[in-house]
Amino acid sequence: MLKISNLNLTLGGKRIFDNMSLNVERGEIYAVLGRNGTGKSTMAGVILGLITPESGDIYFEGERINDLSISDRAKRGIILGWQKNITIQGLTTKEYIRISSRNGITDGEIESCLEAVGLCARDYFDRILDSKLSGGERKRIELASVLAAHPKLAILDEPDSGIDAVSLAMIMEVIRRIASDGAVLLITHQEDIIHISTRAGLLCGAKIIREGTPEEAIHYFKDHCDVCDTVNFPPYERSATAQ
Amino acid sequence: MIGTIDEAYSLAGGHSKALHDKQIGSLVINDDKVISANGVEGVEVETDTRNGELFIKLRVKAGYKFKDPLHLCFGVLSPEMAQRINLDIATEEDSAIGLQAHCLFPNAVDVLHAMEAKIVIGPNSKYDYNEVHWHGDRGLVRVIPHAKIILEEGAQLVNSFSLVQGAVGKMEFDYDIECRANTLCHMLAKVYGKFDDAIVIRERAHLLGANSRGLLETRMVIRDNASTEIVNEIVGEGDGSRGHMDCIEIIVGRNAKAKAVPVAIVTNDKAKVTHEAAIGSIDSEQLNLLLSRGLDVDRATEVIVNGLLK
Repeated sequence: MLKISNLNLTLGGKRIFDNMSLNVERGEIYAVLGRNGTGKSTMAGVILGLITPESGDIYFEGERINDLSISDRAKRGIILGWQKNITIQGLTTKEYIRISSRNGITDGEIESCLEAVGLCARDYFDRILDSKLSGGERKRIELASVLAAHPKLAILDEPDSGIDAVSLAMIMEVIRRIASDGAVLLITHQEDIIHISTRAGLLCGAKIIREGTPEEAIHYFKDHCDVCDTVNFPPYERSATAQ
Repeated sequence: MIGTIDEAYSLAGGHSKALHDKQIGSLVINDDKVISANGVEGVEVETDTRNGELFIKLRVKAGYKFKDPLHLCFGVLSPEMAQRINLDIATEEDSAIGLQAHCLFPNAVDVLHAMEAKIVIGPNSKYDYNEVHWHGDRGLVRVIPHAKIILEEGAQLVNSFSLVQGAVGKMEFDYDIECRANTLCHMLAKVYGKFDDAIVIRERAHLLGANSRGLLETRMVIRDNASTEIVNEIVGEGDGSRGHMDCIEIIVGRNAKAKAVPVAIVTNDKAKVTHEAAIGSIDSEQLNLLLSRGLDVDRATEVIVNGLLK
């Protein structure tokens, strides 16, 4: 569904991607792991069209989308659940979710999306997307808006940040629902969330250095990633044996 | 061409039935004539016309608290007209009233709407004034509202001014508010400037009394060759007085010009006045958020602009 091939990008003198490649298949929840600053959110920006790479190709459903605008990529079904809690004065939650749905949505469906993320629709329909919302509330609304969009590919950038531990299970269920429509590229540091992925990749040293089950990726991340700038990576099996 | 006040009033979002219902206080003016004036118990409305100017006196009696607003309609349906209004409003102690005013100039080619207002909000009374303008698309309207407002002890004022429909024309908004002890004053102006609109807003809140509060909020969007000059001034003089000025202006295109001048004056070490202003293009994060949901740039800009001016 999504194929990134030999992506190269340098920002502010720092090599962010060095021939980075990645595939995400339909039905997958693909988790991207990596230390802070390794380029996970930048990857989301490149897929979305916010950032133009120096070279490399991005294919979505077989179509090369490098030259498509942000808006056109969204129309193709690529929707980002933003990491940052962006506010828009005067825009209500209901209006935002309606915009996100693109194809029209009933009040009942909006209500259902909000309730899926643990928000009482009656209390939030007319809430403005401003700074009076807490980080957790805004994050839930963001996730509800992605759910309403029925994306073919949802890129969820830290969907769990600001979410209380009790509600994590609910958020994970929503991620699964979103994936049932297409695929999810998941950027997170939260181990519980990583475990719902079907496959995980470790972004380190400007490329995906390791792919596998979530457990393998977490294990590898914990064992090696803190020194990955300076050493060659041993194969996962060696690390597992050493345990 | 809009032919009747009722039609214009409805287009501007008003319920024209309210202008004819004897149970609802209302005042309707077209051009330089008073069409109707309907007081209700607790509110006296007197009107007069002298030398082509309209004189309106409105009194709210002590203790009367109105749940529903009174409706004011200041219309000019003639393409060319000078409408000069002198407004004298006083609310007595412990009263509460809302005024919903619609200023309608849909057919304007060359229209002047000038208002000189003197408003005294009585002790512990509440006054909520909401003025919505509805202008034609390209005609020249000169809007010159000047007001001197006094908030007596414990009084509260909320004043909203909205001119987002049609071309502004030339506007010189000048309000001076004197706030005595334990008062609350909230001024909000929302204007969408287009074409060659020239918009000047001057608001001064003088926080004389102890624990008086003043908030001057301005929300502007300008495009084409429009220009704005916003001068907000708050003087913190009373013990514990607090004032804040908040101005957000969005500029669309390369030719519009915005100027904002916050003036904070404090003459008492127990008073505090703050300000914030942001002038610039559409916020790129907001724009990208909406683009990422499939809107094109024009539609995304419209959503952001409409949100700011809502």
